[in-house]
Amino acid sequence: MGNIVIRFWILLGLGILVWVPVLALAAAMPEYTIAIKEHHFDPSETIIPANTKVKLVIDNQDAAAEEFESFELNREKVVAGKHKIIVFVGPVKAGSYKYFGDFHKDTAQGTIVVK
Amino acid sequence: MKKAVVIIAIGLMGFLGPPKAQAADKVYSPIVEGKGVKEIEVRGSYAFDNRASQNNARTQKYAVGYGVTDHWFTEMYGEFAQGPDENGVMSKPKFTDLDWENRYQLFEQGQYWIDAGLYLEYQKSFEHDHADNLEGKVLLEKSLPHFTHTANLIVEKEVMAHAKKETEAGVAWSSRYRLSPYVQPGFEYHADFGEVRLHEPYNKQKHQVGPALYGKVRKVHYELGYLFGISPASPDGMLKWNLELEF
Repeated sequence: MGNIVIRFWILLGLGILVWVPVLALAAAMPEYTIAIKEHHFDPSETIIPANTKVKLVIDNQDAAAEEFESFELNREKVVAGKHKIIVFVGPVKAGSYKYFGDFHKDTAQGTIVVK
Repeated sequence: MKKAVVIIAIGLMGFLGPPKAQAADKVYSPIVEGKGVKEIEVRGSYAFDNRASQNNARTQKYAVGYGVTDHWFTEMYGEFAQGPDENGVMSKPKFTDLDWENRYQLFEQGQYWIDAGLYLEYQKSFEHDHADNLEGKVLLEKSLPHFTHTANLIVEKEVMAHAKKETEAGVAWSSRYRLSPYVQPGFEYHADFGEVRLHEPYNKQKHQVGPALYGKVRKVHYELGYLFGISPASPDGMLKWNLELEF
């Protein structure tokens, strides 16, 4: 019994690892760049389409690291100084989704507006 | 720095106060924190059992970690343990092993239907007559608007001197409700199937399940859980906790 369960989990894991990228949609994905300059997001508001997965390029132009964080979008990733990261968001319903820079919360605030 | 001292102090209190033996591991997310992230971590477990030889067994792990790249996070753990002998007499706390742990995130979070990563750990034993251990895991995670489900598929093998056991396998699962950043209730399931070649019967495998609480307060991630042993080889109950400070 245990052996069957083990084989099932191993095969499931390997199957997912192999097939998920293959089955991913090949369609071009909307891309938006959000810069971090002097501990502010620029632009502070980004409008994206509803029910569509989008690619955000977070370009930290400051020397200090920042953390792109949004509980609503379930994202939390550190961007080293003078470095870029990619964050995929969605598909999500129409509405406003707040995000912030966890290392400089006072100034680094932004919103993703989904229409 | 003050927070780091507090976290280590809390960990020490847990160790000196009340549990190696059946340490239920944590359920690992494939999502790596990011390049340049530094981390201090304390985690432990305390077992409750009506068998004197397992009751009050405890472990404590202290770690420092670093985000080498956006997709690779590495950590060094020192593990301490204290447990009863066959007659229930507690041993003194001892340093048992040093672990080098690596997690690799395979692609960006949310890029595909499921997030995935790989985990590789080498555990150097400092106990007399104990083998070193090599452990690999496939880390999977599915995020939904209100829930996060995480699964780890585990294989491990004793290596180097004193290695006796063949390849062992296990599974760990966590589901949590994303109530708020501070509090996320959920549950965990841990299964250790034992040596694959032996086809261990259920009553010799270790299966544990129970409630858990997750969250983040400022820069500290916490996990607290209580696992009930549902197979005879598991301890009746196990308290487990984890604190991580990222900076």
